[in-house]
Amino acid sequence: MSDATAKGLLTEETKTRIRELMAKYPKARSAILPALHVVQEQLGWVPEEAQDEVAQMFEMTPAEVRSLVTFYYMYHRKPVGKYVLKVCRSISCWLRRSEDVEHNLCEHLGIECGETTEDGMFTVVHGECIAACVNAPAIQVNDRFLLDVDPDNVSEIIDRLKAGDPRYPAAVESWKRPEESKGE
Amino acid sequence: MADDLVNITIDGHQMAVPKGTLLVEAARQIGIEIPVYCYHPKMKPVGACRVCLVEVENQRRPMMPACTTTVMPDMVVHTRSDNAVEARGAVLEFLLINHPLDCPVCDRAGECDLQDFTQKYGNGNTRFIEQKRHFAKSKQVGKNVVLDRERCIMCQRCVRFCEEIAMEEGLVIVDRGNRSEIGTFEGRSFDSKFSGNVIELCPVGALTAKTYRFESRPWEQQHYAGICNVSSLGVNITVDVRYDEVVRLRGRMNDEIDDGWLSDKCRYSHLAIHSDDRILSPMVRNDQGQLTKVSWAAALERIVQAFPENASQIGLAVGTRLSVEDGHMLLRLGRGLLKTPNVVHEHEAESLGTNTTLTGRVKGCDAADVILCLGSDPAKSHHDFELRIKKGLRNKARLICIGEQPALVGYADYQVIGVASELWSKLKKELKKETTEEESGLRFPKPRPWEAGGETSQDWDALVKEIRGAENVLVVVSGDIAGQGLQDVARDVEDLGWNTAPHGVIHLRSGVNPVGHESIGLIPEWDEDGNQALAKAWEGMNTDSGLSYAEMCRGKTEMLLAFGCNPLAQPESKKPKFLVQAATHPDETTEKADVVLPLSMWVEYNGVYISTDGTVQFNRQAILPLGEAQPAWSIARELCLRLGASDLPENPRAVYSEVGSLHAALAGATYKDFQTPGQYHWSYPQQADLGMPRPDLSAIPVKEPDMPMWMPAPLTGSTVEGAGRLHRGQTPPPVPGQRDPREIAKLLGLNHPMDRTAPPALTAGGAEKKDGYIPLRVVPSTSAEPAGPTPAGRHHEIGVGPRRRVAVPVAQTALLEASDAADNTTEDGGEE
Amino acid sequence: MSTLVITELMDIEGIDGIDTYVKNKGYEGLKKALKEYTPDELIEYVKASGLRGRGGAGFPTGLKWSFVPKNPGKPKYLCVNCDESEPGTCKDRDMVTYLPHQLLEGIAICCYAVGINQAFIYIRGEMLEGYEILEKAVEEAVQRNFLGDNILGTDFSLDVVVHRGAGAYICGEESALLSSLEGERGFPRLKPPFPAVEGLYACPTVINNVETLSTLPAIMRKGAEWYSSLGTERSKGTRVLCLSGHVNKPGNYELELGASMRHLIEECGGGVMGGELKAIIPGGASAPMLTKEHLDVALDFEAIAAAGSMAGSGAVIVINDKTCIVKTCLNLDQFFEEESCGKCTPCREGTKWLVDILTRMVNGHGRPEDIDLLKSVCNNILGNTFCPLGDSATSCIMSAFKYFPEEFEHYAHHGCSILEGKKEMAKS
Ligand SMILES: Cc1cc2nc3c(=O)[nH]c(=O)nc-3n(C[C@H](O)[C@H](O)[C@H](O)COP(=O)(O)O)c2cc1C
Ligand code: SF4
Ligand code: SF4
Ligand code: FES
Ligand code: FES
Repeated sequence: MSDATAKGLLTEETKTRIRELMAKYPKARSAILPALHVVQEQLGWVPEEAQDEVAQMFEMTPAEVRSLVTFYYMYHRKPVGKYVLKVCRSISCWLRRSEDVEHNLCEHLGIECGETTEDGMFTVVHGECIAACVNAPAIQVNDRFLLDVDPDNVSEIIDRLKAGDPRYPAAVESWKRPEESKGE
Repeated sequence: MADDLVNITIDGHQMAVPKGTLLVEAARQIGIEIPVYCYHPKMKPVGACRVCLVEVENQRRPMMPACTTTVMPDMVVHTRSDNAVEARGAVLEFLLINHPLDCPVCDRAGECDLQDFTQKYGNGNTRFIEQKRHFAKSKQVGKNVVLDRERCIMCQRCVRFCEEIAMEEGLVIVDRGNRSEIGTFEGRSFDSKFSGNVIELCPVGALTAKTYRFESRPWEQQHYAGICNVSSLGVNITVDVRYDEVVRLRGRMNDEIDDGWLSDKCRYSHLAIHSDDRILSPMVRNDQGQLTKVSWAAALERIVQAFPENASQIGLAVGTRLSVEDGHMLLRLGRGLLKTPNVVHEHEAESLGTNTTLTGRVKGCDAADVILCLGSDPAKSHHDFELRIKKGLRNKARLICIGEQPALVGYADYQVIGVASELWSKLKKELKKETTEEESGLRFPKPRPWEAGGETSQDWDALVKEIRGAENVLVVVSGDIAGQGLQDVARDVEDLGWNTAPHGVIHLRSGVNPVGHESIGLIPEWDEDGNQALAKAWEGMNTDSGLSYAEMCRGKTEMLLAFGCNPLAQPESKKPKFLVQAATHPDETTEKADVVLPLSMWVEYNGVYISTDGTVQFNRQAILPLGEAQPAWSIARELCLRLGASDLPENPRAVYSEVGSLHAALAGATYKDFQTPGQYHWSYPQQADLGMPRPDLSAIPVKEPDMPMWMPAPLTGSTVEGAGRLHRGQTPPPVPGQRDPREIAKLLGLNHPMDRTAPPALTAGGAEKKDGYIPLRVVPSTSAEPAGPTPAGRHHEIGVGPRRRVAVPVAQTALLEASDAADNTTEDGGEE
Repeated sequence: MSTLVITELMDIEGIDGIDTYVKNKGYEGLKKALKEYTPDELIEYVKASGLRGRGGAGFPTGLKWSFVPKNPGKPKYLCVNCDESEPGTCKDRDMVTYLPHQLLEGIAICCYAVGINQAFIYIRGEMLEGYEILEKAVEEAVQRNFLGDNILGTDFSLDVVVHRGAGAYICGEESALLSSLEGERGFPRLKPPFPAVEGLYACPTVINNVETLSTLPAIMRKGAEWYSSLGTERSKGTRVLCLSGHVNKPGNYELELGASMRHLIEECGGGVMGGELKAIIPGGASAPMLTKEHLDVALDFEAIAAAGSMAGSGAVIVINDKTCIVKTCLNLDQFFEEESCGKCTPCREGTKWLVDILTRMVNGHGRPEDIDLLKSVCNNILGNTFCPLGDSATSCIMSAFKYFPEEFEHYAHHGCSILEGKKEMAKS
């Protein structure tokens, strides 16, 4: 490994974290997916140069890494906005108007699904079920859940994100007890 | 024994097959075809394409893939039931809906499994009216590999080859689902030493060779069984010929040697056959010092006149790319008629100098516990051997490399760098020490270097332990270090008991056929005792010890005849007074030679070659010699005639029979040996190995090759111009019911390959390059590529110790005996 | 009212922290297991409880464990399947978020029984929050010696690694999960060899769903007998049902197995939202649809199977009568098309074809022959694929044809949904 000589994209910190991950598994290669998450955290996406660097660290071939990055759809293969809004389009959300959520978001931001706003702030993509079906329609903002979205009021989401609340929105309680429902 | 057999029923046929047999294989044994795409007998089954689905009774999911399902007791299988037929049709339909259906412009058409199976099992019409998936057409993914993603059926064979067999960076699947495509790392080219194999593996036209693109159609071709003429491994190949042009080489499964794979170095070696700079007519250097074309008769005359009075002033140097027959006739010319002691092959300096018969076989890698490589990188000199070593690694072997440069980097478990001979003596001593230690439990879970994270060890003690613990050691000695005090290796390993099964020793030789040439005595020392038959037949022959090749190169003789080798490329070489070269392509020696003779390449004549591990194999003639080229045996015969000999054998078959009757090492050998299944591999498309119902060739007695055999026209007389032979560019006999493709080409205003103008005459400076041909010389014309930078003068130093006759390391006595019996029953002749 | 097993502790404030969890009888089940049972006895105990896997197939958990060789001479592993991606399913996420220690306790019990010293929790990448919570919980548990070396003074040690996936539904399939965990593409693997014999790193491996393991602590605390007294004859205990779609109060509800769909939808879910009930998908997107006639079918493995569907992941998706079934099928199949791994031909090509045909129909270009074509393509996929994902893609269409054939006919003949009335046939 030529970490010292190669001036790559990955910071020392990222590399250290990756090495720590590698040490957790009986075979280092198992850490490749978590490692790519770390890369994406640093860079916002997983560019080819970074794939190459990761391949070196794992003693894998760059082609193998590319194969993985493209198989797993959470890795962005091109630069994305600061906020990636992933709209679930699967059945439970769709039954509760996820199409409108997506449409209204795109319209509000003036982009097509899959695109990024010019200021580099927002990217809207659609994804498959994100395991929040009982709080449909659900979206994810940078892998954090935003539940029970009101399709007709998506501008609020954008406004609050623009206001800079990094952890907005917090996960909403989804658990329902039979008793509760009875009580009502 | 019976416990290991399982009774099953396939389509009503009852049979018993060994436990663990896959259904495809079982069905194939009784001649039932089950189509396959992703399955390949040399790779792990994946069950991806689903075309092999068959119906199995009493299963929760009755449709089971025959390629991944192993036989179970009392299994009842239907390959032609309605359900099976339906499932197969369904899979084919699925494969075709997004296929571009561009067979008319596809290189694979005619030998495409998708085409063939669709014809046999497909539904015949299309129900798909949606948009097809589109990719940009033909993308060059490697130097010689072109990918058409639309044609790909995602069988993953190419991907699995790179990952599993070649174990190196290569093709991968990009994206997933129906967006999957084959690709490489962005912007990186797929340039493996073995890249050509994926072309052969691809069941459709998704991967094609750049050299072959739009060149030829399979139905225009004839296929011939050949032997690779690049390395001494004896890799089996199929030579595909269109009219008189070799359009491609492919692998030909030989489990003993190549396992069906073929390295690019060999695969593209045919480009040299039709390259522009081939030497195609005899030439003599005129007074102005320029080579000018002359007739064969004139050239031969010139040579005969130049023979010096003193026979020992004549040297004959023989290239190892020549066949055993070539060597024998040159020996006859040299020792027999010219009566010079100086007849050697170009790599004689590498001979181990031992009477020991080496027992190692290339296949030994598969079962070895330890593969111990001594000397330079075997993977560099013998590309195809690398894949075999890797197979051993996948099975269980540990790889230990000892030598001056790192070898098999990234794969060796232990790598010790230093002077190989010194390290060997040290190791030898350690190994001979008594030991009581227990060395078990060493294996799990230590990662291997070629798995991510593993590291090559330099730990000497661990290495010694590893070897001691091994039950099966395969020693691989690289040819080029044999002359450095390692001649004793064979004796040492004998002492260690490694030259007896299950252990083994392989001496990886440079060149192609050095073992063959040694077996008939083309070395400086002459073994009188072993060659009494010869001495009797060739009355008055010279039986002295002669000069070494290196000495000949240094101009120790007045006259040197170099056949298929390049003595002036050797260090400290000096042109002798009179230099004759028979060559295929111009080189350093050609530039200075007084007479140059056009030499046939290996596909142009029948011949026998003995591989580095002693496998005796027959290479079938595939095309007529180009231009006026002649095989070396024929040229030698011609010179013999001029020296007054008579009763000379007239064709390779007869020469080889003479070899069998005169040389102890090959006693009794004839071409009939190659009718024994397993030794002689008749050519057939590789699909036959994949469960296709092509005739079971091993069961059919092999006839003489059925191509009308070309027999060299006797070269006597004043001219050989157009002596009734076919030349390049001459009309081949019309094929009944087929229009002459050249007429069609003319109508279309195209230049038919056969109408291409003959290569330009050779000038002293070398060859002119012309458009239309790739003037690529894949193989240097003298010897195998030297492995890494070697200090000058290493190879052919004089005085490397006593040379003894190398007993041919062939386990062929049994074979010869068997062929004796065959001799009495089979027909003779048929060569005319 | 139903007995709560898995979610009993859920409402307690701060139950995701170890102190609160321990205060509420947390890790008692583990203590009991370590103290009172040998591993073999424990397996028998779990067998006796009648617990069946909650990941989809409903395989008896104790039996699964018993397939693992006792002394294989190599390590054994547990992989916890928290890849929860089946549309309609979101119970594992809640269990991980609210009751992480209950899962860890379950993991420890399982590992003790099977003799495993290394467990991996494969959590889907999208659940970043769950990942963080689990990481923290593992740390806490190690500190308190509920995990780590020599747990609670015994010679049983267990290391738990939380592993993030990266967005691929197929990795929920157990063998694909193993591929993914080994750092490869999430392609399902050949079986045999089964994971119990040759799984992760070619070593014996148990794969269990989060809910399955989360049930174990309660079983240990309250007894196998108690657990097996819940539920029906062959479907014991309780399970968490994810009620989503057109209901007034969607949510995760833990019910005893054997409760009816009517109970879930009307009592728990507050009835159908925005119209009348049209269809129910009772076991996640892979399950065939049922209709309002099936409202009284019990939500246990056998009853749902008898009604022609499957209990699957326990996700009940309710569809009202304002919804076009053809579009619903299109949506469902878009999921399978997107998530097909692409390894085998029928699924890779077939799901795309189905989506293409349905899209064309929905866009008004349907043809009468499309009905047979759809059926035939489904038929050609069904039973011919490498893993069950391909089959799943056909179940919605096949069941929709059974119950709502007229909706497809309408598209085929009139170029629009039956709900929109008869429009001019669109011309293509
Ligand atoms: C396509 C497919 C997806 C699956 N997804 C999941 C999943 O997300 N979570 C899960 O627990 N099991 C899933 N399964 C089931 C698993 O293969 C496996 O049966 C289960 O994890 C076993 O655990 P259990 O015995 O506790 O149910 C899936 C199966 C298939 C075929
Ligand atoms: S390129 Fe050829 S060999 Fe490779 S996956 Fe496609 S069809 Fe198979
Ligand atoms: S059925 Fe689909 S998901 Fe399963 S292996 Fe085949 S292509 Fe992959
Ligand atoms: S369907 Fe949208 S989160 Fe499950
Ligand atoms: S699935 Fe058997 S050959 Fe491809």
